Amino acid sequence: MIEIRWDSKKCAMPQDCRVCLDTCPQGVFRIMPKEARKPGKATEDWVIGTLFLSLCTACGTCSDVCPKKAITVAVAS
Amino acid sequence: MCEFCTQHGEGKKWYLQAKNYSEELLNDQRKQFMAEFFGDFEHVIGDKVAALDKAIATDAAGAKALFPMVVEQQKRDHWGQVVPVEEIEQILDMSLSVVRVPCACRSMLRGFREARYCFGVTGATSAAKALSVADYPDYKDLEVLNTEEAKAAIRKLDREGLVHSVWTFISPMIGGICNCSVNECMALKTRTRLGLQTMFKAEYAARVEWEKCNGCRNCMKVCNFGAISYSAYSRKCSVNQLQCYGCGVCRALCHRDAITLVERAAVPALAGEW
Repeated sequence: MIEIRWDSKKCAMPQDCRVCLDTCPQGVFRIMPKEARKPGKATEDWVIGTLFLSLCTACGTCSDVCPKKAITVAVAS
Repeated sequence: MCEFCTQHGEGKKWYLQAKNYSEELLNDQRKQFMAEFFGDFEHVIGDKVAALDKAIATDAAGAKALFPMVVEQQKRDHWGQVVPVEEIEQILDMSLSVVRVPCACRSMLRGFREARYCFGVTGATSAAKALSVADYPDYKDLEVLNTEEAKAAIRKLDREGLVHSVWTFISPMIGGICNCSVNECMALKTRTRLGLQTMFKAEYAARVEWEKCNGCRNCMKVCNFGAISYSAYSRKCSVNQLQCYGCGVCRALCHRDAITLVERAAVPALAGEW
């Protein structure tokens, strides 16, 4: 099993960077509002998560290119 | 003829029937469905697909056993079919109004919240207007396009190699026209990578006219489905119709006018291939 960890403390403004989203060859990531959207309120806090983790090959591109070194890819046996 | 033409088109192409774009179809149920769908797309849709993906990773056979049920639900609520550019133009001619909106998939998968690749038609236009910016400040203004502007925009996207499709918001109301590449589209991605049939192939399949092809391979560059191959021996391209979705975007880049679309139903080997 592959696990991708994203550290929100290191990556405070994912919406302004998006490098992981754009470079992942398999398109594994998603960016989403931290909380469910509520009418009348613009989203301020965004988080990075995975959506198509089953497609991840653990190639390591995301952790290499992340300017904040906020992503780690772990392969558990 | 696909099952949707039988069901929603009285034997003709279902997405060319004006009744499926009628403003009257936009009832409260559909308004609510669209508000929930787009209002919090990343969680409402994103979480569902993420859960499905996780299920596949942990127990592929068990997850795939649930696919038919998911597909049936999609066919009721929200499913799409690939449509070539000339028929998209016919749809735009039928639609009373067109808006261009940011693509929810590219927003979630790429973080581009201003990627205006999606078009709302008739009923969905009203719904998009109802989902006002005041209610959902994450979504910027709606661009209202006239028919000619909308057609020009679609042609441009066609030359960029984007696959066109129509989408229902509670069948049979068609509310959206999408223009997608495979890695940035939730539907194309779940279909081609996870094998979930939420998006259906076009009523057509492409074919290369052997004599005309000069082997330039421009068509290969834009095919989202890996359906085109090149022979270094004969210096020609050919389409594997079993893999072709019939989007027809390969035609826009062919200098020799060598690619045509044939009716899927007229190719016996493609019977039932949707």
